[in-house]
Amino acid sequence: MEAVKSRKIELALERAIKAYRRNVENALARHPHTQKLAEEVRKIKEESVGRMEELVKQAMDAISDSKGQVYLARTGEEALKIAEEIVGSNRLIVKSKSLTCEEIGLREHLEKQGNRVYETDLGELIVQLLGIKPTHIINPSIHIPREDVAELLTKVTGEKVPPDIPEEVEAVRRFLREKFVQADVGISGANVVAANTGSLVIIENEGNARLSTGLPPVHLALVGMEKVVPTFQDAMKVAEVTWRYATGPSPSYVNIISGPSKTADIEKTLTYGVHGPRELHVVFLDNGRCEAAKHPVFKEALYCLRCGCCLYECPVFAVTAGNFGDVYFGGIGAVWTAIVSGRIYGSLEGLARAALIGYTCLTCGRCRVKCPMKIDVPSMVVELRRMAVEKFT
Amino acid sequence: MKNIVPRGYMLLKDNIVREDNLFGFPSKVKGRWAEGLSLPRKGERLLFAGCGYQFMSYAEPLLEKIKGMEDKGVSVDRALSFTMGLRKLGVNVPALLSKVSFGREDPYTTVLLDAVRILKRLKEDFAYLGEEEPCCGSPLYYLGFFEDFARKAGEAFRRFKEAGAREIIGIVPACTSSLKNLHPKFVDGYDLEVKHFVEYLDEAFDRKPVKLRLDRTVTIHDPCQIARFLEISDVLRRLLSRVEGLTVLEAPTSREFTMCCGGGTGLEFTLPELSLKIAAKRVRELLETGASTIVTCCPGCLMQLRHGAEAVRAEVEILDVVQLLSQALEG
Repeated sequence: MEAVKSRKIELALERAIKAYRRNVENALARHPHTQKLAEEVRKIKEESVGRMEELVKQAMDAISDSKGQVYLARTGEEALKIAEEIVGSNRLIVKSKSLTCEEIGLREHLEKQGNRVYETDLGELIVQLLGIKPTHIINPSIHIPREDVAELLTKVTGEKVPPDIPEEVEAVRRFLREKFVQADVGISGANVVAANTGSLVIIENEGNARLSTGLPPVHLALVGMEKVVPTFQDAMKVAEVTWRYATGPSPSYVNIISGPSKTADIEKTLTYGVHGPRELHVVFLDNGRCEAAKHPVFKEALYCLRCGCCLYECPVFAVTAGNFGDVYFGGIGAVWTAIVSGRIYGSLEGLARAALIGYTCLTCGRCRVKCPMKIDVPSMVVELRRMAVEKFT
Repeated sequence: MKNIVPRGYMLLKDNIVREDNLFGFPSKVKGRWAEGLSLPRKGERLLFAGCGYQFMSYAEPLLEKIKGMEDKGVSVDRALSFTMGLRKLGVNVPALLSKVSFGREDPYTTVLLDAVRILKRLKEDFAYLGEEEPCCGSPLYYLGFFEDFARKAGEAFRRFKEAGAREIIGIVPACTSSLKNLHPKFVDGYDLEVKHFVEYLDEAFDRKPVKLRLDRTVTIHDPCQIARFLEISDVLRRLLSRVEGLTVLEAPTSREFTMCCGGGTGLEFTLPELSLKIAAKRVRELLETGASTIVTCCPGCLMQLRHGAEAVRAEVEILDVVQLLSQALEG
């Protein structure tokens, strides 16, 4: 394992982990109701995953009513095809961070179709420009020091960017500003979706998701089916727990999107596409999720809020970062790899890939006690290994 | 598709299935530490010594071999795939068995001797199965070999019953957790009461108060199985609080938030370098408390922490709780 040898990664991670723990500790102390709320959210997720297909249908109806266009993709390939038809080619695309997009390789696919796609989350942009894999689901570039970032930005922007973090951020702001304005399509995921109102909730700090989803004339959102919860109030609870464990007390922005931009200010006649997008396309992605929802052990993986807490607390992740996983990292990442990379029972190749990640898990259970959803990752990893024994020995 | 299960883990599995112990040594070695103690072989209460404490001193050279392979640039996985079995690994079993010392000079079997000493001092009745003691099979479960695990669990239950056991005192956390939480799921009519030594002792000291004294400042490394599976970190602390003169400095990552030593699932058998790195990190973390003695209660953790301390060149004393209590009983 090359990553183990890199002391640089370990040092960067050590700092990131310390800062993360401090943030979340402060956030929980300031908002002590969070732990109880997390228990409530676990129940909401249990119910939602049990009724996933029904809730997704409800959300699709609600979005349609608001003149959004909806799709249900059963596989990653189907989702890529849908996205390809919406986007076309020769377009400029701004994208905010989305693990679900990464799961199906959406950016790479659209680039192959002749589109220019810019990641707008700073960490994700750095990783994109470097042409490497993200190492953490919330902070994709935690392992890259400022000196390397300055060098990279100097090369990309053509201006001399010093290794000073505020100046680096300013350079990125200048670089992306025109892309936001000129973009034909904005792409995002969603942290949670309310079935009754069809509202997508997107949590962020940088403001890039607002601009990506607000400025271009077309907004395309890709959402995993497990993100849908029954009501708007439920969605708010899920969102609060997610951001508290992901980033701290409160994020700078919470975007709520239920339809395309509209006005009826002239003669009470409804017209779409005022300042925001004229079109909203929401693609719900199955890709193994429905099968997982029926699995007695793996269904727990669908409760995951993707707050990234378990990764900061994982002993293996602390020395290997993104090398412990595929698109999804850590012990739970092994399980998600099984779910999305070939369906649990379907593809042996998917299972093999997942199992190989799973064998690096210590099954120490530290993630389970730190997880706001108390997801029993060791039991899922053991189940994954049991399946590997059944199929491969 | 073949060879998905890492070879190191296949080796562990074969060892348990063939030789009834984690490291693949002949079973007769199991009871060597207890020779001359004349412990009864039958009784209602059994002390379950486990593979870890009984075999670790023999296993360390084996693990060194595995580590050596990775250092030479041969992937451990590949090396093990053509060297299954100890002899093929280059371990001369008879020579090893005659060379390794056990007892007071050995950091692992000395823990068992101390456990026996404490129990005898408290005049507690207990039996020990010696070479008849079954392997609990815990790694089989964690590695997904459920059928083999079920067979082991059934066999263990039969042997316990034959010895007349009703109560098991486990001393290895993983074995104890397996006997207590996993075996009942795999064996019909499982009716044994299982406790960890720490729990048993804490209750015994309530019944039979003794003076415990040791002037020492320590920090505690909770083994994962103690903290998050048996959930007895509080009992461990209550037990240690009985020792006069003992100061405990807690690490921020303790109790249910304890950090794994890097030995979980047996990672040192497949990715020894990664495993050692995690161990070294854990040692540094524990020493940040200011204590220069680390107390733990698991043979795997003892070994990992010792190797981790060597890696960071730290002057640190690593003690098992049982050793500490035994010293405190003298003090």
